Formats: sequence, C-alpha cells, structure tokens
Amino acid sequence: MSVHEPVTIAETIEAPVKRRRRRLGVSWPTIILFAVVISFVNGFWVTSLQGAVGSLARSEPPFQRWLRDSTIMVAFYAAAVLVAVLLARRWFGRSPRALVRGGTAAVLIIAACTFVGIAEVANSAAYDYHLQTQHVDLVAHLNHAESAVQPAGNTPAQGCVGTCAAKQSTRDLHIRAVTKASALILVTTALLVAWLFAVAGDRLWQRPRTNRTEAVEP
Amino acid sequence: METVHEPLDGVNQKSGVARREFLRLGAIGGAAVAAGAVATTWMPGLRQRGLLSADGVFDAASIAWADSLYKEVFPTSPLILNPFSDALTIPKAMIPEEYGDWSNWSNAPGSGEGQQNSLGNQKHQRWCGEDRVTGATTPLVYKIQVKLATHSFTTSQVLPINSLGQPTGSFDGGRAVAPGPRTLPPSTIYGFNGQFPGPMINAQYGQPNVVRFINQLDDNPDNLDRQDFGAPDYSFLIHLHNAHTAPESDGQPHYSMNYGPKNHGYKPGMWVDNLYLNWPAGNDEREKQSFFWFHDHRMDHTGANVYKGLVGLYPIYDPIKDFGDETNPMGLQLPGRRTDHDGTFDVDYDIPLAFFDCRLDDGVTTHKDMHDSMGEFPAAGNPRTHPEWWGKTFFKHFPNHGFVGDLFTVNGTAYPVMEVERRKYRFRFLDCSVSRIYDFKLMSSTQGHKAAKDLGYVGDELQGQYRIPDGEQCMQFTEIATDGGLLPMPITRDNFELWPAKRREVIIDFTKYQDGTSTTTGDVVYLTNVLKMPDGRMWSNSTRFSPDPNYKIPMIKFVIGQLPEVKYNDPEMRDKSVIPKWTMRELPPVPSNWKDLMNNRLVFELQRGSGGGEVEWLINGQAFDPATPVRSLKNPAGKTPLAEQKMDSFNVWEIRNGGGGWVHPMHLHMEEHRTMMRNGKETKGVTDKSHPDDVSREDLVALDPGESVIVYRGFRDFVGPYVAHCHNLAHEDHAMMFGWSIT
Repeated sequence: MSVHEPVTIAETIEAPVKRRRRRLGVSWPTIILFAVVISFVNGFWVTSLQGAVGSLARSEPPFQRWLRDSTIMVAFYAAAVLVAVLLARRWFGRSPRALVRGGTAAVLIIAACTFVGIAEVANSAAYDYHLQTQHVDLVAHLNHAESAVQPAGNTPAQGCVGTCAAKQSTRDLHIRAVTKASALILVTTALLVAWLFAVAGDRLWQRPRTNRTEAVEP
Repeated sequence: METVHEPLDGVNQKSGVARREFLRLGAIGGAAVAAGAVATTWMPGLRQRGLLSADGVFDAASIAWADSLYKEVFPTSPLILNPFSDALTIPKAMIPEEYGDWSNWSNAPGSGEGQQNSLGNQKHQRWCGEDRVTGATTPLVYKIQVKLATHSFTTSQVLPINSLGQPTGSFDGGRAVAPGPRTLPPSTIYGFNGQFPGPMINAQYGQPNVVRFINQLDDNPDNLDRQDFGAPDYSFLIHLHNAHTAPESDGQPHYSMNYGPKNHGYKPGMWVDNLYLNWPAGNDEREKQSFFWFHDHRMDHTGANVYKGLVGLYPIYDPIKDFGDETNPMGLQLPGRRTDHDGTFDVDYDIPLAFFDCRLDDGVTTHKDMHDSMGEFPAAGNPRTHPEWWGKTFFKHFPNHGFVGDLFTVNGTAYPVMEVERRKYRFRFLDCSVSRIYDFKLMSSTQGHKAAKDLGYVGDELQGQYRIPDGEQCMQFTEIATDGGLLPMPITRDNFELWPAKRREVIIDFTKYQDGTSTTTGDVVYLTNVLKMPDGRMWSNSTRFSPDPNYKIPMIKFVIGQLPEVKYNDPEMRDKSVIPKWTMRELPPVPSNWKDLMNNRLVFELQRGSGGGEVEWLINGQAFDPATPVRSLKNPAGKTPLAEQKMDSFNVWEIRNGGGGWVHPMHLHMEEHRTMMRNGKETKGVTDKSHPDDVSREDLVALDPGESVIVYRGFRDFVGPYVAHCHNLAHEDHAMMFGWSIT
C-alpha cells in the first residue's frame, strides 16, 4: 500500500467549499498545475499562429496577448483536467492495475485538453476570418470607387473572383492553419501530460479512505 | 475520514518512492536539458535576426507558421548561357527641350496658377529664382513620356531549367517547347520614354529642371500583353528620390489623393510638371547631394510599377566642387571627363550602375496574388499558370516572404561585361530592386564564372545563376559619397552593402590590385555580390553575419584594357583624377544641445501586422492613412504628438525596427538626416563597423532586426505633406508608410 501525506486538504476545516473539494477528492494544486502548463504552452501556438495568419485588427504585442489569453484559458483547461480525472476515477478508479488507472486518466486529459486547445484555435480563426472578410469587403468597396482601366480585348474572368476569391483564399488558409495547429496541439498536449504525470501524476487525485487497509494495492 | 493521495501509477512505498522520485527527477532533468538544448540551438539565430526578446520569440514562431502555411512558389528563371557577353549599358545624358520650343507650348511650364499639371489645379510652391531660391531663373525642360514598351535583359541564348537546375521545357506563345537552348522573349515594361532604366538626366546645382511626365500608358499600338502587375488604372506618380522638392513635385501618394489628381496618381492623358530646383536645403552648400534617381510612387503599386521599369537616373553635379571634370584643379578632380553638348553634358569615366533583380516566368508556376482576387487583373484569370508569358518578368505583389529575383541585372542587362581602361573610374551604385540587398566585393578568379547548377546547387541557391568558386578579393573600393552626397572624407572599403533605394559612389582604381601589384591588359575583375538573400525578409549570410564563402555571385565582368593615353595615343588622356586626401564636403553642423530635443522626439516603430489581408505592414500600429499625419508613439516627455513640423525647424526622430525578423530600409522624404544614435549609442562621427555610412548624411535608415536609430533632420524651405516609408517596396505597397507634414 502506498500512502502519501495529504498536501491539499486540511481535515479540520469544515467549510462547505472544503467539503465539496473533499467530496471531489482531487488535488486542486495539481490540477491547476496541469492546466497552467498546458494552457500556456498551447497558448504559445495559438498566439504565434494568430501572428502568422490572423487579422490586423487584433494586432497587439504577442507576449502580452499570450499572457492574457493563456491566463483566461487556464479555467477551461482546469475544467477539462478535472472532468477527465473524475471520469477516469469513476471508470477505472478501482482497477487494481496502476497502468490502467494512470493511462486512462492521461488519455482522457489529453483528449479533453486537446479539445479545449482546438476549440481555442478554431474560435480565434473564426474571429480572424470574420474580421478579415470585413476588411476584404472594405477594400473591395474602396477599389470599386476607382475605375480600373482594362486592356482592350480582355474579358473579366468568370467564377469565384474578386471578394469571393479573397474570402475563399482566407478561409482555406485558416482551415489549413487550424488543421496543422490541431495536430500540433495534440502532440504538444500528449507530451506535456506525459511529462506532468512523471512529475506530479501521483498527486493528481485523492481518494477517500476509512482506514489504511482499504487503500488500493498496486 | 481522512484522505490520502492515491498514486495513479500505484507504486508501493518501499520501492515506489525511489521509482517515483526517479521518474520525477528524470522528467525535471530532461526538461532542463531540453530547455538548455533549445536555448543553445535557437538563441544565436534569434539574436542574429533581432528576435531575442519576449515578443521576438513569438515573431519567430509566427514566421515558421507562415513559412509552412503560405504556399509561395516562385519560378526559376532560364539560365543565361553566355553571361558577360552583353556590354554594360552606359547611359547618355538626356537632352533638354529647346527653350524656343517649350516656351511656345500652349501649356508651357511656368509659375502661374494651374500650370503645374494638366488638370490645371496646382501651382509650384516656389519657382526658379523666387524668394529664397537661388540659381537660374529659367529652368531646363525635359519631356518624358511614360509608356508601354518591351525590354530584353540579354541577347544570349537561354536554357530553361527547373528548381533543381535540370533542363526543362518552355513555351512559345503558350505552345510547349522541348527542353534545350532557345531565345528569350522581351518583357513588357512601363518605361520612361519606353526604356529601362529610363533616361539619365545630368543635373547641376543652380540650374533648375522641369521634367514633364506625360502618361501614355493607355497607348498600346503593338497590343503588348500587360500581364498581371503594374497599376491597374495605368496611373503613375514620379518621385525624385531624394531631392529637396516641394510636395506637388515630389510624387507623394497622399498629396496625390488630396490634391492635384485627387486620385492614386496621374492617369493616362494627364501630365505633371515636376520642378526640381537643384538647390540645397537651406541654401547651404554642405547640403548638396550627388546622385538621385526618379521612380514611380503610385500608392499600393509602387513596387509593381518600379519592377515594370519606371526607374530613371539623375546624377547631380556641383559647379563649385564636383562638376565632372578631373582636368580642372578648381574642383575635387574626381574621376570624370566632361563634354558639354546640346544644353547638357556627359561625363566619361563616371558611370551609374542600377542594380535590379527579377524573375522570369517559367510558364508552370501558378500566379496567385491577393491583388488578383481584389479584382485588379480580372483578365489574367488568376489563380492559374501563364505559359503564354514564358520568359517574361514574373511578379508577386503581396509576398508573405518578400520578393527577390533570381536573375541579377545591371543597367537593364543581365551579367554585363565592361571593358575599362587602366585608370580610375567613378561608379554611382543604385539599388532599384524591390527588396534585395547586395554586398559588393571586387574579386579575381582563375577559373572564371561557373553556372550554379553545374556546381550542384538547387532551389534558392540558384539565385544569381553564376558563381566564381575560386573568387578572391583583389581590389578595394574608395567610397566617396552616399545618399546624401559627398562624404567628408573618402573611406576605403573591402566591401559595402547596398540596400534598396540607397546610393553609394565609389572610385575603383583599375591600375593596381590591393596588394600593390599592377594590373595588366586583359586582366579580369568581377564585381561580386556576397550577400545571400533567399527571400525578401533579410539576408541569410553576409559579410557582417556568418558569411558564406561559397556565395560569390559575379554581377559585372570588368576586363581591363590599356592605359587611356596609350589607347587614344594622346598624353592628355592620361588619368588626371585624384582620390582626395582632404575634406570633400563638410557635414552641416549639429547644434551641441541637440539632445535637448530628445525628450520631445517623434517616435516611429515599423511593425509587421498580422497577415491574411491586404494590409500587412504597419508603422506605430497603423496602416498608411493618406488623409492625416501619423501620431508619434509616446516619447520620453509622455506625449504622442502628430508628425507635424514647423518650416525651417529641426527635430530628432527615432525610428525603430519593431521586429518580426525583417530588415527595413526606411526612407524619409524631403531632407537628409544625420544618424546621431544607433541602438542607444551615440555615433559621434565614429565609423560603426556594421553601419560605416552613419557618419554621412542619408535619406534612408538601414534598420537591422530590432535596431533603433535616432536621427537629426531639418524641415526647410517648403510646406505641405510628405511621407516616410519602408523602401522594401512590398512593404511600402502594403501600408508601411506614414504621412507627416511641414506647416
């Protein structure tokens, strides 16, 4: 039996919040650690991608943007980790095999955090696309105010041209970007979760017990 | 009830603690090692590119993203099979109109209301001899038609090759042609008087010039294919870079939008008289310059119009010190023998060199450009390939990685040869490329030039087409002038960089090598570019940063001939020029209390905006707005003043490169500046290793990544709106420009 000293829950505190935490049986600092690390690393990809293909209207110093957005996203990643841990414990918490318990938790955390990361990058891309199409319309409006002279004998091309082509090109670019970023977020999240498990995986959840003999043997 | 941490890996207490701790320490140690490796691997590169900062790391990642997401394929130009067989074109001075002719024009140039352009709505702010303007009261008048024409970069046969350097097929009018040597079709150009480079006007201080530019770009009797670049409404604006000129004659886009044509430029059928007073700022002899060039400045299409050929040369001589006659000891006796004729003059041994890189269409590269999709070139039907344009110039307006060519030309000819006499020459270097920076050396070679493809190079390494693998520096340059005219003293240089729009004037002594040995008739010296720039961002290798010993691109082949007195059998033809050992041109003084201006300086930061749209380059976070002057970033006094200056005042401006892994040649219209500080360090007239020209007056600030420069400049003689912009023309056309004004 392995017994680690508790580090997060003070038994003597009876406040409702504490009771709720105890009922959840998770280590909040560890969950927050997971969420912070994953949020800030994935946030780097989202911010740098925005710098490459995002809208001018959202232009700002990237470091500042990264700090702000990643901080906001910590809450979402914490929720994702929490849900993953609770599900893992519900489904495989009593499993006698440590690999099953830990592996399930890791896979679920990866899946949940990747989902959050992809949602973040997709949302950012959608907003960029919205702003960029507005800009395309504005530029087209300004250009049409000018009468372009075309060489004699030339006829305008048919199909999706002009603003249509510009928007299509922008959309295609964002789709490519989100696809690549999603793959990168998946790989990054997997590596981070593996590393975090190595560092603090043993502290991720707490399990109520009534006496020492009930603790699960490895 | 108590809670315990339950280890997810379920290790037991006895052996598990050790295992757990081992795992934990291993992970932390591994992360530390990885962080160290990343720092060691990436930090030098980030530092070199100016990206070693919190924002810079994100910029570097954004660049990597952009590289992987934007599909930018450029064609490989056909290989010129016989380089250095076409003679270097040495331009002759354009002849002005006869006074008796132009003074009788129904719309003759003049100082009256409405006489400045064909629209009749502008007048010249100051006319020749008026008020403070000194010099002749009657201008010389030049008439230049801006028109459609064709231009050939070579007479040599070419071999179509692909990006691997392998022979490939080509096209004739869209019909496929089997691989093999063939002729190159001429490219369609917009040319001053239909030529590229355009005419050379030899100007002289004290003699004003009026140049009437007439737009005839709609005239296409030969039904030439205009392809998919060049201002779509065929308009132009012409800027004499960087003359001391009133706004109405300065070809500035925001002036044009608000006055005169009230449009992007002068459209077909219109004309404009640009008055060049050839008069130094503040009427100060020390402000005289020596080499201008004129080029298109049409808003959003400057790069396209310049690339299409709208480049002209404008050396300007000083009748007091530098009048182009080495035989007259009253002057500096710089190399040059002057012949007056037809109201103008030519100067032998004084040769302008306009460097221009381009790409020629391979017929299989897709033309895809934001400008096409904005409806500017609907006839091209892009995105698609254009086999019918095979061998003609290829352009991309909005390149994510910048635009550089792979074919290097000088005075409109690719890889020219020049037979020089055994004497000193004055060369006036001009970089009229869209984005390319050059770094020149003079080299000799035993084996001569080799095709890069034959040396096993592929892809971007094919840029420049030829190399001299065994090239060794054999001569030095004596630099005598920069953008702002003659230097205080000559500088001996092993090499020098030439950034877009910059000018450098050097003397090359073809009588001896740098080791002191004499040259002999038949010796060959190559003017060689050693700065590798695979895309439009910045160099990958240069003399200053990690030189590539294998990158030696011959640009001009100099074949040394006889002594001039022998060649002409006339002792009077011997070289009488000198390299001055005394002051050539004093610098205008800077007041000792110039630092008092520092607190209220104007601050401008060049930034890369987020991509995905038309606007990608910013200054102070704003795209170019032709309607209003830009506002400074917060200065040390805590103010953000508008960029407005009082006439006849002086001020300090700070120009910063905001990062993103790009270099920027920032051009400030109207008056030359003095670089007072670079990266927080005072120049104090001391030659900086990386920027030795900081000791001179310049009109263009060369900004390495992350650099900041403080300049001192004046605002004299004229009022009105002016611009400042990056002279990487892909940046300028995509909003890296700001308006400022003199009130």
